[in-house]
Amino acid sequence: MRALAGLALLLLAHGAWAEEAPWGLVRLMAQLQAVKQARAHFVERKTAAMLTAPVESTGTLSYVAPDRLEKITLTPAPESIVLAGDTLTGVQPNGDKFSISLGDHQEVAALVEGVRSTMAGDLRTLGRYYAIDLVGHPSEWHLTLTPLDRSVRDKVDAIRIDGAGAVLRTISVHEADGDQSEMTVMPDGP
Amino acid sequence: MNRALIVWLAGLALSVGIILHTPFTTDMSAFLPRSPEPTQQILVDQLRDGVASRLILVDFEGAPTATLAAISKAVAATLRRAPDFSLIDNGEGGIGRPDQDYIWRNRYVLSDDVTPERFTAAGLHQALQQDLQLLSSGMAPLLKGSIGHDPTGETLALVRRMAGEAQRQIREGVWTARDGTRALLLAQTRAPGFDIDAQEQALGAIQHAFAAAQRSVDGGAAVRLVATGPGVFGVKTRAQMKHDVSLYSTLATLTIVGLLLAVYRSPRMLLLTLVPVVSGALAGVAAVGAWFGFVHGVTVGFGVTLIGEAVDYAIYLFAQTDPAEGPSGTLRRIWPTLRLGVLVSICGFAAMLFSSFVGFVQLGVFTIVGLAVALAVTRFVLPSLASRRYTGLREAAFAPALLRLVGRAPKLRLPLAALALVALGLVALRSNGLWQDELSSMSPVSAADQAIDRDLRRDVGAPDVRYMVVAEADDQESLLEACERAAAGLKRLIPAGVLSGYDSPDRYLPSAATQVRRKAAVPDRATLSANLAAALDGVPFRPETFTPFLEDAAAAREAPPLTRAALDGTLLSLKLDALLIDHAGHWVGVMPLRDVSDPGRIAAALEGVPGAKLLDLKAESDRLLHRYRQEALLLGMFGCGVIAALLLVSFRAVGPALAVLAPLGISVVLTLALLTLGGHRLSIFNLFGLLLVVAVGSNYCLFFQRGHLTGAAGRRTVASLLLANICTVVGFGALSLSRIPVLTGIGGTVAIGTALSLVAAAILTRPAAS
Repeated sequence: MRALAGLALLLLAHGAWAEEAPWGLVRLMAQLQAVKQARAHFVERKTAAMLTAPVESTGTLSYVAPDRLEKITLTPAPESIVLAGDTLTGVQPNGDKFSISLGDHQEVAALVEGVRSTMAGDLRTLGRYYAIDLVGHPSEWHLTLTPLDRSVRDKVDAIRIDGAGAVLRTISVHEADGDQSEMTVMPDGP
Repeated sequence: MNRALIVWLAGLALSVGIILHTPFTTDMSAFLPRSPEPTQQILVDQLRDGVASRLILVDFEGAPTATLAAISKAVAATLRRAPDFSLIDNGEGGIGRPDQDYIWRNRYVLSDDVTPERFTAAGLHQALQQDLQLLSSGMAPLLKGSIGHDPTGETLALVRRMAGEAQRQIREGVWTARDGTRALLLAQTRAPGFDIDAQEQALGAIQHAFAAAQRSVDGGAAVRLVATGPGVFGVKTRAQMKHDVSLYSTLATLTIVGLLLAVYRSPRMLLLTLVPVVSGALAGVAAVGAWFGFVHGVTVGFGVTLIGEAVDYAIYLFAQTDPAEGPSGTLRRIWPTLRLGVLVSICGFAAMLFSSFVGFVQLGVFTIVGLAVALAVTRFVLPSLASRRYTGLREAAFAPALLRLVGRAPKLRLPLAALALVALGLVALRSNGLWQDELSSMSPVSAADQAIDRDLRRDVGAPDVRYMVVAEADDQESLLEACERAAAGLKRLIPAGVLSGYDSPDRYLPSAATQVRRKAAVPDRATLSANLAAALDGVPFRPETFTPFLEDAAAAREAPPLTRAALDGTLLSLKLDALLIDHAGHWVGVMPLRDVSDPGRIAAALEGVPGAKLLDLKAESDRLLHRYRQEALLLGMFGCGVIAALLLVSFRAVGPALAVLAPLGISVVLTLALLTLGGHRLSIFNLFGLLLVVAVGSNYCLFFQRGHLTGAAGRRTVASLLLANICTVVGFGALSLSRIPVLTGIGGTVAIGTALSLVAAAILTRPAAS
């Protein structure tokens, strides 16, 4: 019921979902929520003003409901980041470990929740950080997340997630200064 | 009015006058030694006013995380305005702006990663590759801003090291336990931990702020507050001590008063019985005040217990009053015995004057003056205050039987001697494990409170309470250098799991030599620029991205040396103050350690570092206690020697002196054997109790020795001794019901020991004349 109330508020606020449709954000989120486990390979392509050419990295992603997300980069240098609950821990290529509490870093929280809450179908958390805009249909949808927090919006214009059914296809981050990254996700089997 | 009364009243008035102008302290450090050993001095200083002693850990629980967080924020806001605290940390705000600026501006002198290799083409190339990784990570939008200024990532590493010391869990914007069921707040008081009054006030401020927060936050009523820390323990212990002392001494007083009233059948005589002890206590406090300029609360508390035997003086006088001679005549008769008894007690207590603990010297002065005055009041004042019509007590019904019993008691000499030998054997067998040398086991803090403290410390990530590294030097610069060398040794042990982390003053303010070395590690602009250009080969960064880096590095080379003043206004300065201590020209650096698993390897790693060593607070405090007990034992033996000499001199014969000493020795041995039955270990408090047993018991022996154990006088004597002993056993027995080790230790020992010495005296001591 709370998710529905949150949705109603969102709809009123953004008016982007005015039509009466049988398929929509609530259904999509419920569909995503039903996925308890997922593994995928990814290719991420980063373009930035600092760089003379785009940089590509590859690795694997794995998700375990409700809140564990793991990103292991294999090339060009090994690195792993694990998000579990409120804590983001990681090992850098030089072996240094770090651990961050999301509550301590609201901006980090906003960035990681964009992906995790979408995968978890957690509309309530997603709505806390982003204005949500969904277009398309069940077999090909496009989600645009616009940060609500001003300090995050200073850095990120939007996160776009494309998918089909309960599967995410691409995740792209459009930064305020024009830099952007695009991650193509290739699920490992069913 | 006679002259004695005038002197007495004038003395009382003078005493009260002095007492009114004497400050009373509760500073427990008077009972810590002024130790000549520097490490023990550091220990004592840490116990007195170290950072750890000033911390109050607060935990809010019993409601959803959001409610706990709201309470935590409200309490923190109130306490930040309170004058009692130097630091309130509930996780809000993370690392502050001034601290960030300090780290950012001084990153090239603060970071111990700054070495010449870091700025070579190879070193920079590696750094740039990491930057590339960072740029393509999900966190790029937040972190990439610093890449152009700080490609080697010094700031990030420093912030992680300084702010991320304790890996904290933050929920709803505040610091919580891992599972979110508790919100945590750490308050550092301005006052040291031993200042119980100030700690009580600080604790009151926390509770007040909490009560207000409960009213203002929805659902706040369900939240519970748990506070722990050395100051909290101090406050709790004092309250418990006050409670126990007042409860059990009221109990004892009522019993004794009831008993004396039943015996005397006269409230006036009852009050008169208390006159010597009250006069003695007032004079004792005044003497300590005049001598030391202050009086310790504990001195008064224990002193009154120690001179409790003065109640016996009046009992001896009034219970032995002969109808024919009246109080004055009786007093003249028992005076030599009474005087010798008090002299024996004074000799016993005088040993405390030689203690290295101010508190015990005070106790010595108090008891000597107190007993002497009580004796003088008994001698010169009591008879004139007592009604002339007082003709002594009606003879107790049991007195004849008691006297017959005493008459037959010598038959038990052999069994008593055998029993004493067995007891001596038992005590000798256990001589290794006889003493309790662990400070923690004597702690008045309950096991439950200690468990809460442990849990909370783990959540807070507070440093190890047992181990720390301490460095010493004659000036700040040498000290910082010693800390740096020690830190280098510790750093190497972290990967091996010997410890998980440490803190050190040089982390916030490196030594001048290290600053110079780090600045020299940064190449001049032309070299750095060339190295950077070479490093960029194969990394797709645009070269102009790093122009700010070249500028910052050049500025860092030219920057004036970093001093303590640069930290003003930051929270880091509070940390530094806690770790870098100036003891009037003698500098001490404290390096707290975390999760120590192998202290031996840490100690070994520090061997090459002059002035630095691993301090095991537990071992040091146990050693301190051991020393403390050895000293007490030595002083106690010295006191016994003086008592023996006194008896020899006053009797001018060995036999009678032995007749007094033997029952005392036997009752001490029997008491020791009884106390250690079942593996129970003795504490310093039991030792104090034994001193009292000797002091009180010697009076019994002397009365038996004085003779006249026949007829009405004999019956009165034995009845008065029994009455005095019952009062002592009741008074101290009540104290032994307490859960506080010091009260139980002294109370139990004295109750058992005095009863035994009365019996032993009856069996062994015979009139010297016959």
